[in-house]
Amino acid sequence: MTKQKTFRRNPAVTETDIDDEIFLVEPVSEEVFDMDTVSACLVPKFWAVSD
Amino acid sequence: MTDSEKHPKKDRRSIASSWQFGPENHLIFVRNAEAVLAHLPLFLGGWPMRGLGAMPELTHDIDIIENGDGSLIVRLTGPGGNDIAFDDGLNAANGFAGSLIGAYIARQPDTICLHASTALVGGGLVVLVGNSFSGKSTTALQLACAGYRFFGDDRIAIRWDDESLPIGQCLGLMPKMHLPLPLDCGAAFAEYIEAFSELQDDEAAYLRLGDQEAAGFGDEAPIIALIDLDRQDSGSTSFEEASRPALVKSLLSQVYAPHLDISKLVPSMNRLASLVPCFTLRFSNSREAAQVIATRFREPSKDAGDD
Repeated sequence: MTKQKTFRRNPAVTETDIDDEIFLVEPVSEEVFDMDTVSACLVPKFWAVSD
Repeated sequence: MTDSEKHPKKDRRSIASSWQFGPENHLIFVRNAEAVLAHLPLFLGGWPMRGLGAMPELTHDIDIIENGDGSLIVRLTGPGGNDIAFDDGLNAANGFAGSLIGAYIARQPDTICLHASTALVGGGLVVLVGNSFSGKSTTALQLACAGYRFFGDDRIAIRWDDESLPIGQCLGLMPKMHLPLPLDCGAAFAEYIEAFSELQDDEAAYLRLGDQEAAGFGDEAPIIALIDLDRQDSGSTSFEEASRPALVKSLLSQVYAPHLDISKLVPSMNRLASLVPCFTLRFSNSREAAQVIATRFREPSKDAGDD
């Protein structure tokens, strides 16, 4: 039996919309992830699943 | 004889003088600045400074530690604090200039520092950003050679005025030009660098521009353009509007703001890129790049004067 992966949104991660892209900031590691137009479309869907 | 016997560590902190640098509202206190003062004018100009005598009880923002073998450590405390070791006083003075600016920026909650070179063209500042060796200093100095006021090499402070518009502030870093000069930089540029060189070594010319040619520490002007430089080995010059996300990415890689939370920097850079027109300049010849910038941003009266 395969274990199903689940995702949980990290509430500390901040999100900034810039035009069609999304910039995510992880405050502990101080990493910035920029999601291009395609991946930016997926981010809200991920949040919807993980919330 | 051991190394420590040959070069006994000299701890001068107990007898070193204290110094204050910067404007009265943002004073930076430094211990043992005398260790680098002889070389400091090569790297930094126009900063108010004053010797205070020995004040061991004072909390210092920067401590300069001499090791006794000629090497030094520049210790910056507070946000972004670090210890950086240098082989000699010349390099330590260069590092101290950077630490001084770091401390100055960290004092001002509404100010950030961009790794950028800047010139005053037309009615405001053209801020040149880009990776290392993207030609920021060269292009800004080409603009200075063409008669535009040089506003800062390597770093510029940015704050927002009462109307929330971005203002650039000169930090007084002396321009430095990598040597040898590019073959296609032009004879006038080579003469300009030679004329204003205070010191040259195998790798760089350290320049001292006059008051007519360059802004001084604390001078301010509105920012009218952010230009992301993309230097190529060959090819023609192209100048086009940059996408805001691309410019924000570039700004994030060039911003220094140790006093600000990283989560505030993305909105802050987005705000900057939203308020100021953003461009990408692809070039292989810095003289042509400067001409493109001058043509795009100079005032009409300057047009007439140049023709």
